[in-house]
Amino acid sequence: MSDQVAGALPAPAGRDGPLLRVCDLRVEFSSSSGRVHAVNGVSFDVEAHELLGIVGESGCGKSVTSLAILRLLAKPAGRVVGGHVEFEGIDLLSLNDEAMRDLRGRQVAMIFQDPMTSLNPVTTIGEQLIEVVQAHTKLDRKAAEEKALETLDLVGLPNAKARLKNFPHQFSGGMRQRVMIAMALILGPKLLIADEPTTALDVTIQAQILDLIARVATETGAAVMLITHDLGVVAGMTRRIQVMYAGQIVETAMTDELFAHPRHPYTVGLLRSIPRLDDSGSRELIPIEGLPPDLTKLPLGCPYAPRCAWAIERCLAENPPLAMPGSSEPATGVPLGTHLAACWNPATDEEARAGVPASGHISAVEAAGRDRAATAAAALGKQP
Amino acid sequence: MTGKPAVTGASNTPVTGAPAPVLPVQPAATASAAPLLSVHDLRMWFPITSGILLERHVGDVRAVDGVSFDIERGETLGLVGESGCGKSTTGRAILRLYRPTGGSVLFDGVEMTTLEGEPLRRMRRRMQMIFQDPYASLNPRMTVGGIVGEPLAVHNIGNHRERRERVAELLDVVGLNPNFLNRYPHEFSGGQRQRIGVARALAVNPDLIIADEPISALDVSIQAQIINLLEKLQDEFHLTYLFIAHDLSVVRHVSDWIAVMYLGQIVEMVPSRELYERPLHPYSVALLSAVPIPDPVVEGRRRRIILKGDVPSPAAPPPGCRFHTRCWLRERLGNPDRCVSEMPVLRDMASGHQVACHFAEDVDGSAEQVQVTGRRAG
Repeated sequence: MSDQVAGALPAPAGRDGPLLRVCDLRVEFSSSSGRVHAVNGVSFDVEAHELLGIVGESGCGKSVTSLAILRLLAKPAGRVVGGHVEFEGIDLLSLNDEAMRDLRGRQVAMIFQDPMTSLNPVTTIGEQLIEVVQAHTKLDRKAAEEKALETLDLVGLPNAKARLKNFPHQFSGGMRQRVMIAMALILGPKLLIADEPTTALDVTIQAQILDLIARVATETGAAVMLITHDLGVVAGMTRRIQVMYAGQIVETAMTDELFAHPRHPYTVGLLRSIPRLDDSGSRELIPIEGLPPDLTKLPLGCPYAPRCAWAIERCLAENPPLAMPGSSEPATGVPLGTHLAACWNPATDEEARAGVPASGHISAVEAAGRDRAATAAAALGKQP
Repeated sequence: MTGKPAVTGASNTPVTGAPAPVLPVQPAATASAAPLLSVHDLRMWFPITSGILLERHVGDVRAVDGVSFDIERGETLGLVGESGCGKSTTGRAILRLYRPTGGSVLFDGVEMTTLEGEPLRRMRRRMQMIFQDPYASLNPRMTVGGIVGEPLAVHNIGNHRERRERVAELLDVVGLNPNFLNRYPHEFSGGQRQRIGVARALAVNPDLIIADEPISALDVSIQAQIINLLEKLQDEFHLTYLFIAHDLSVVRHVSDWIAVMYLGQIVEMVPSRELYERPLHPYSVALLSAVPIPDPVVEGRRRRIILKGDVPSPAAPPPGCRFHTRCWLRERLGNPDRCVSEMPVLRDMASGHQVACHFAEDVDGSAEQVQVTGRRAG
């Protein structure tokens, strides 16, 4: 269908770089309580046809990263303050608005978390799908409708022809998410960003939708960035994983490697703080104490240090770069899938299994706290 | 759970037309070994009306339709199921936040469904609720002291000063600084708010706590804090929990017993360890298979059962077994008529393990059952 596309993009010829390259991306939001540092120097590549998982909790910057890639940040509050984003060698951040609009949907498409608020409630889904096709291609209405039907079949919506005339509220949650996926796929994008695509769904429906995303990715050859807070979801689906915390990538590795040998204490914490369905005994949960950091005033050192049982002095003073475990030099030019962690004192396999640092280690935060308490007590002339 | 009285199973006589009157009060349990909570054939139907002035009763949403279970003192029963299966409605009907359409709820030998006025208020002091949404369930215009102390005021416990002392003590118990008494909910994070909700539930020293999705609104790293807190409090105060959640991994972790619900009925009642090892209802097998396990090695060995379609409407549940429209086993067995003509009742398969399926024997040892666990068959 490339001949029908009202393309405004220069056709990149004979490249062999990654599909998407994000370099040192920084995003800030202005708010009444100051500048929110939502994304703080994120760099990663996505290869063609790849299934990449991005894991983190709310506020870790995983959604903001994807919105920044698509230039969909809420304006004027949110803005990219550094770094660059390349899609097939094209610099997305300096692209003009028209070219960007053309690229969205046709090259990079997004599936949002909540299909109810992402679909227009007052228009039939047929109209919405046809609108997408006609906005990007020169297809006439009949051909666009054909395309819509074809895509709804692909995503397994039963009785697609009749349902084109239905409004979003006439669909169940799972079916609405199928419509959303159809809308994302209808122009055959090369990259699909799925932002918590199953969080609003029940577990059996989640299984249907994840199954569907994996299938359409294989069938259409699209690369998928799967953004989620659920380590279970990425374990079975993705080839490679990035863990984010406080607007930074704190660990990245191939999926099997990450789960078998987690290095960053935050990854270890996530794995040990959720119950597993297949626990035979009642494995004790080891919660991550404390709260995620306030993004308006990030600490000087590692943002995870205040909650980290592994923290050492250096963690409080200096933010560790994403590096090969055991190295303190930022990793550059390493092959995709190399295991990297941003940590001065990474967990060993034994510690990762136990979920706690080797005995005898007192976290630097705790030590500093004791020092402070002692100093304060001395100053007040009281016993600590 | 020794001496667990046999559960008589789901109501297998679908009542049509107007809601049936409340069942006669059951004789109060006499032995102290009786379960703290005994729910029998509980039904909660919500009427569907049509017309504006003269509202005609045209049908019922059978949110809960014949649910029976017991909870022993100090134990936790986990109620799992997907949204709309009636698990929250069950919890609310037990607390008498709704007036049940039928069935009986015996709490410590006292029939709750017919209780009114002052006696009901007194009984409610012994059963408290923790809600899902820590943002919506705390009054934003009240201080923490006011919120946690309100149950004490409602039940006329202590004077003002004693209440404040009790509130400070409760905050300490749930891991909050007792000096936070005068702060407002917006000053706290989600996890801290949920701790406030827990403190409020504990204020009147209840025997039973109904926790309705207490952690699903919280971030992953905070969930374990609340789970561990609830477990600690159970040991400390000998609490009995009805733990309602959709997350099977969490329910399995906290519960002694698990009841799996589908479309207003319990389809399987099982000791929590056995659910994963040996699920016996086709729906439970599918539900378990859909839960992702954070381990790529195990995930690689498991096979998902993808259920077709959506849950049918509880206003017009399918005849016979309510799961038959989506059942993978029924398809395998050549769509036997029995699934459509006869509603299966809960029956004993192993000690305490009950299943409402005519063909549960065919689930046991099936490839699907084995693959859920990621074990290799053989």
